[in-house]
Amino acid sequence: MADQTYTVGSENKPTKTKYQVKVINDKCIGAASCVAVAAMTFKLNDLNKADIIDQDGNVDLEKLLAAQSCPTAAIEVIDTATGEKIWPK
Amino acid sequence: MPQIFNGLIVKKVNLAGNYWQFTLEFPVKFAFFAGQYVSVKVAGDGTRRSYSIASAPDGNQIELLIDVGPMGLGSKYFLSLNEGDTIEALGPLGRFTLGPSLKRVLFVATGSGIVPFRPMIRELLEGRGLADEIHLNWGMRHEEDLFWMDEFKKLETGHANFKFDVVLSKPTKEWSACSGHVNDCLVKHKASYLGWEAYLCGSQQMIAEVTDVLMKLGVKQEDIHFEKFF
Repeated sequence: MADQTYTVGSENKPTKTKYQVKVINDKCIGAASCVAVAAMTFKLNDLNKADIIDQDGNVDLEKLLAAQSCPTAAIEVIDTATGEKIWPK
Repeated sequence: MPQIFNGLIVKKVNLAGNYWQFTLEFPVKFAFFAGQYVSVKVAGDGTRRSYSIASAPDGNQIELLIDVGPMGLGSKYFLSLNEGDTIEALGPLGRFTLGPSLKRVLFVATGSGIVPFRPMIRELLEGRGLADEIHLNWGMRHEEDLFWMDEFKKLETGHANFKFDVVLSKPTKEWSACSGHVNDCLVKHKASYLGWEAYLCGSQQMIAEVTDVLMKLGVKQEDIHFEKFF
């Protein structure tokens, strides 16, 4: 990351992203860090678990950050271009 | 809105045993609510760990309290850092914050679970000037591991409505205060917490046991809040 600060939360919705995210429901504790980091991609449902509302809601960096900041590693990130699992490693 | 900050470590202090306090300075003001946390990048592959903010919202510095006891990735990362190094922090995160209209408030923590309560209690006592009772019940194993004691005792002396109890699970013979688990101490000091709001931070087992005890002592389930990531 560069020296300057970076504010998460895309101002403009990306047209198409290459990272696909998936919530592992059993691991989700509803900490909501994903919602804070990528609010156009994730929301909490009535059971306090993360749901995906739009795979292209946030840029790839923010989706990856949402997964990396999840305290229970409940979000998987797949690179749709290569099929590789980006996160968790 | 959370931001990624590069924080400069301006102070690293061993408070007691496995507990280290780090002061981070950011290039701009870091706005957050008492009780929130930051996610710190602790490895080059992007692995992050979550740490409650130990200081009150104030300017461009925050304090973190790191328990290196587990000796996992986060512990080793923080131990390797020195004053002058920088870390990448994402935050503020978390919804474990104070409600807008609190009255009587009970805080129950074990170990480093006391961290989010330090800024919360300061906000209630000094920021909001809450006059109703505020109790902090802190469970630790050994007396030599205790930290921030002077600070909380000073708050207790300066605010008649604030009560601070430490419970040791492995006390020495000389320890005269509470011993056992935090829920033992709760039952010992008060017959009812009817009308109280409770904030819990610690292991999942502690959360479950204390929730059970508090509900028996009159606290409504919806008035019991706990930090989920801990």
